[in-house]
Amino acid sequence: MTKDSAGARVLLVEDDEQDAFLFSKMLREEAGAARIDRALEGAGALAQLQSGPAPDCIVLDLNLTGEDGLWLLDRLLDNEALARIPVIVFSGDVTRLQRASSSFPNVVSSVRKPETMEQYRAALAIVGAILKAAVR
Amino acid sequence: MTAASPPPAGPRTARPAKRLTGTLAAAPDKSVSHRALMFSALAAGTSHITNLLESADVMATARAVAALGADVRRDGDGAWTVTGHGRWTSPSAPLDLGNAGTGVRLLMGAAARFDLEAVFTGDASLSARPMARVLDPLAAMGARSESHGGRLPARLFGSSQLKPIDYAPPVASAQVKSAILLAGLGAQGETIVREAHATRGHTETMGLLYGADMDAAPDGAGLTVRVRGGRVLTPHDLAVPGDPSSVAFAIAAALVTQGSAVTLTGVMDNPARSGLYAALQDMGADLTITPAGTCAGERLVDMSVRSGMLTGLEIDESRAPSMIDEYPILAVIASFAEGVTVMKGLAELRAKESDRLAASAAMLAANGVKIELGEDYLVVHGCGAGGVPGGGRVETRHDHRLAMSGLVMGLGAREAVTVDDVAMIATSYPGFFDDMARLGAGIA
Repeated sequence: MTKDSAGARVLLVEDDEQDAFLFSKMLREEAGAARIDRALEGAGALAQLQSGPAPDCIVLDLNLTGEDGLWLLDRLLDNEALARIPVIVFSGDVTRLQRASSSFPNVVSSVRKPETMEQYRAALAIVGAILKAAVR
Repeated sequence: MTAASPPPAGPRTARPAKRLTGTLAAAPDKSVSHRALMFSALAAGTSHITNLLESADVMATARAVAALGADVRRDGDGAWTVTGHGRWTSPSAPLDLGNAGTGVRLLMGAAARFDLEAVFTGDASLSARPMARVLDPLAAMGARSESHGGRLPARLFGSSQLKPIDYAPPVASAQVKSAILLAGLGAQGETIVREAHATRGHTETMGLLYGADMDAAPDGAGLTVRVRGGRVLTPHDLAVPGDPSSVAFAIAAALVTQGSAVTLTGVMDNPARSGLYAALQDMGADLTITPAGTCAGERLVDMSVRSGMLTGLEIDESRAPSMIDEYPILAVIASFAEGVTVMKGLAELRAKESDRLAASAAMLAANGVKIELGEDYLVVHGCGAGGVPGGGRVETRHDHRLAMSGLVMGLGAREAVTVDDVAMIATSYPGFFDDMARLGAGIA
């Protein structure tokens, strides 16, 4: 998988250190991401996106301390360039997942936040598939 | 014992098709083929089977029943003669069931009632699937086993002194039910299996054909099956009906490819297997189903389908047992529909040949389809009139149904779809590529 998505760049928006560690590790190993930038919450993520090169996709935890994931999704849609970046959202809250999926066209997948390693692998396979499509 | 050319392997790409047309005889049913070999091998005498599915999975079962003591002979295409001797004996080598979940689980149940020792193995995919759901109830009946944390390889110590049990399986699985019933054929008394949701009843249907003392009664949405042990099974000649799970791919291909009209003949019409077709009709599919006689105790139908825009549907979890194998192809069909399709109650899909739920979601995501994935549900946002973008590469993870589903997606999508390996298709539907080519599909 790494071969096909070589060079893929991901912005990971996640405030939990342990989850961020696992996501980063699995993004590299399972989804073939070459570079992972991280933001802790929505406002920081928006600042990074406005100042740096656009990532191939955004992996976004909806539940964040500070400006949360739904806030960031709103801001992304305000900007034509940022609205084109595919976003994969994660959450333990099914209602929020549904809201993100139904209200935001830039959300390409909504996945229940993984808890076990098997669930991480399965979830990151989806991220990998989207990354491959994004860098094609 | 077998005669088959090497099956296609490696990646294949399905290109958008103009239109698919034609009539196909449905491929023989995998579930019935496995059971026909096992019941024939359990009986005392000679049975003739025609239209047997000669897939890798079923051939693994044929080799296994021969190793357990039955005489098994191939007489021609799909024609087999099996002579059982009323008892099975210890095989001289481990029984390798390859990728066959049905094969290994049912054989463990069938073998448990004899005084024998057998080791069951399988490929990497089968070795990752849970076997404790079968081995635990068999242990309760008196058949001890050793396994690797409930996974293969497993060593089974059968016993001719099995005790009957009254068992409610914690998961809706025809394989679990069947394994217990097959063991119950040799138990000393009445074995009862109580299902909360009725699963496919091929074992019960076929058991009666071979003279088993067995009956099944609906119990709300569930089913209670009783088998009384001790009766010697009698041989039976049967023809295997067409597989409703295999025809799903041709039906789906026709639905998602504009201008198509396809007919499948001789399809088994079993309420525990026809959930997909009821769902497709609810989604607005132009699908005509006409009765076409009976075969091996099962009703047959012919199915004619025309392409057309479907509408998304909420598919309740009560439907899951009747279409558990069909969710990957339903997810593909839903991608082409207008609106949202919600599929619930899919926890069991995570324990199939692959984590079929996550793999189906990844297949859609790779081809530009928006999805929502939970622990036991999948939501597909259909692309409708805009069409499915396609252009992706599907990781099949050694799963035949994902491989075929991905290729069908490519026939209807805007861009071609590639699957990484088609080798596993031979486990259930070796005629897939020939059938698709006959309808006009370009897969290379």
